[in-house]
Amino acid sequence: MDNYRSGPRSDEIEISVFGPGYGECILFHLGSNNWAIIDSCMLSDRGDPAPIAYLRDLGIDYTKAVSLVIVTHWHDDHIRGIATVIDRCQKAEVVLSAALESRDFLRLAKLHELNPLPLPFGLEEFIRILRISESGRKFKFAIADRLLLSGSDPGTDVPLSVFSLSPSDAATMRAKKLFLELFPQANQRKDALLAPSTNETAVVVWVGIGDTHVLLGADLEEIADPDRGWRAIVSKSTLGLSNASVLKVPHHGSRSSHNAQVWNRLLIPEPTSVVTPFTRGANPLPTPDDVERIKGLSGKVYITSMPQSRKAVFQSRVVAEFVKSATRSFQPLKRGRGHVRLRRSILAPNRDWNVELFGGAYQA
Amino acid sequence: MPSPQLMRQGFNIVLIGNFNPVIFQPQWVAAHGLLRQQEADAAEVKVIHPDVVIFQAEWVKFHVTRDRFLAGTMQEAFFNSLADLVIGTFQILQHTPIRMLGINSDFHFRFDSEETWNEFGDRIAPKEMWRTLMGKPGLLSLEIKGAREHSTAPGYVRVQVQPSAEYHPGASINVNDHYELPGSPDKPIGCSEIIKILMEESRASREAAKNMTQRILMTPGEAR
Amino acid sequence: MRTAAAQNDHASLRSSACDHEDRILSGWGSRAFDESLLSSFERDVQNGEYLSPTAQKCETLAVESEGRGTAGEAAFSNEEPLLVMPVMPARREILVAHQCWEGIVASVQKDVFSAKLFDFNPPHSESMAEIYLAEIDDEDRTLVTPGAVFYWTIGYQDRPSGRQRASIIRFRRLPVWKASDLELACKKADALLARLENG
Repeated sequence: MDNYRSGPRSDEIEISVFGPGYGECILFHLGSNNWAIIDSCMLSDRGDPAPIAYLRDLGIDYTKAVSLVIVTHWHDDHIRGIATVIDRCQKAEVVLSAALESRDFLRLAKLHELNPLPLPFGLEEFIRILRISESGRKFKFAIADRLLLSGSDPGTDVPLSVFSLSPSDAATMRAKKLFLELFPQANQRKDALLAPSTNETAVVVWVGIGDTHVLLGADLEEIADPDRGWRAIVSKSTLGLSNASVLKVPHHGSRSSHNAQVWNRLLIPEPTSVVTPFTRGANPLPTPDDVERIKGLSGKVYITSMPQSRKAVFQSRVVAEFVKSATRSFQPLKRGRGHVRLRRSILAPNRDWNVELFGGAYQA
Repeated sequence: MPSPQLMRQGFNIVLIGNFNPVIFQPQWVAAHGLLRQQEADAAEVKVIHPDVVIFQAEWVKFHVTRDRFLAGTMQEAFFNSLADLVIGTFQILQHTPIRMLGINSDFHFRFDSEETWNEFGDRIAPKEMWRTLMGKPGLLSLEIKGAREHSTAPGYVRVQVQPSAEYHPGASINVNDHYELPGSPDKPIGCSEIIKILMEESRASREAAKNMTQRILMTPGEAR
Repeated sequence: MRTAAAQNDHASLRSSACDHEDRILSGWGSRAFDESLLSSFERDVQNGEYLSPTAQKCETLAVESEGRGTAGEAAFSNEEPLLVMPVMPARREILVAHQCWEGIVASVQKDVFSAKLFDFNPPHSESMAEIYLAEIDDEDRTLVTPGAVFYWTIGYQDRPSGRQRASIIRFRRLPVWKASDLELACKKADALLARLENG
């Protein structure tokens, strides 16, 4: 852990992927102490969100150093603590999926603001984000092939650009229709709103710094529709992107997110792949088959945390006995610090990435 | 000093405003889905009168007069449900003028001996001065009021410590978290502001009361 | 002659007084009020002036209401605490909670519903559970839908008959959405959208 707190050099790219088993976020050093944050998660049950905690550990003033915060989609595991990140990173431009720039989504959010949920799930984080926007902060909305950030690194003069590759128009339209359907009628019960399980409006991010390209796949899945999901990116993108040497594997490495054309067209042969596991629920990801599939396509595969023991331990016997008798399954969410860190000089795009593994991360 | 044992907790919500007590009957509450029908059917009605209604359902007691609404429970499993019940009631009766809100927690502890119980009494209310004025001075009640630390909502916190009437040797600690709406007390506003405060503050108030109580019971050595 | 109410109240007060008789309260002071209550009770009954506590309270409250209405002043001053303790019920059941979760239903299957659970007490852990629907009685079964919030408390229930184990799952009950709620949300959303679109 000695190296943990040493920040990247000014001319060094860093991609830090946090995946503690439930939750995911990525910090990207674009050079010259210019950072981007993609999503947010918690590494412990209390305390700061992972991006804030990490930048603080590096001794970096996140109130000034973060120029871009992207919220790829609204699932719990990608947005826990994101409102705090946005609030504290005052200089950052905030990017949300275009599917959320929708009258019907905002109506849902405003309705649930009238009856806030007592739990850290669902729309609560987004309601906080919207309150920040109401205090004057401006937001940008990501759609396919939109330039989110461009310029050059002041230290090396190397051009840099950040694009969103999704959501597609079709995915955005479908999401807006779904939000309309979710809006309750009068006399309907006040239940909380859970995020729909669809991932088709997730924001896929492409980062280019000189000759180094990185593809961050969020949770986008493969959909049997040429106008949505990975197919829409591969067949319809006009950016001519290729040769990404690092892939943040989409949707925790699931089979449903695999598209062979992504590997053929957007990535170099045998890129470095990073997977964040999803250990909640009945079907943890990635499965062993997923890992083998990804290994067959990659030069190296890193997984941010080990599969965890999911046995619940209770201090009280009466609790243990009731839980055993009342439930078919009970899985505690154990948080770790799973963190894969990749660094490489901006000026040496052909060199191997320097990889460091922290808190249970391992090479598959 | 061994920690005193928590024997029971209570939680009640008090509103000051203008009410019509006869509305608040078990069947009315159940009809709006705020109580189970079975709870309403089994409720014990003590008084229904134009000026006062008192009834007890399994886990909640209502005590409503023309200017005061109280709902309370001694069942920890229903503390959240109590807040929901009050919130729900005044989401329905949204035009009720309400001026003040009290979120109140009470705790009853039993000490392991009269010695530790007396030590506690002497610690929070030193008797040296009183012994010069009377024989065998004893604490009947201690009440302290101050600014709320866990939020900036207008109002104050008042804490009362007494010997427990239920457990001996024991103490009861009552925390009254008092909220006042901004504006003149002679011009009550509708419920929405109060309900908003209740939604936002209920949990934090209970947690703050619990923390405060634990600190009151700590010896100076434990507090360090 | 004592009324039935008076007889009950007398028995209750006498019982309280006996409980306090052998208590030495030198550190805290004398709790003689129960004895004095008992004495005044017996005196009032003899004088035919007895009112049960409930009826007394009604009278007091009625007088306060009238006083306020005519005087135009609030009988409640800002200094009076908003602290009113519920009258202790004669029969008490106290749940000593060992674990409390707040949960949200994620999905409902044939025999179970899956839920996310959150523990607000340290260490603030989260869990996922599949809870058998049999744990929910018929009246609450209609409340088990995706998005429903519930509170699950496990512990021991102390009753007059003794201690029992208890597991209580209580679903959150709130009134239904009103048309005015929906309209208000729409207005606020439209204003926010206009602000977002105008950058």
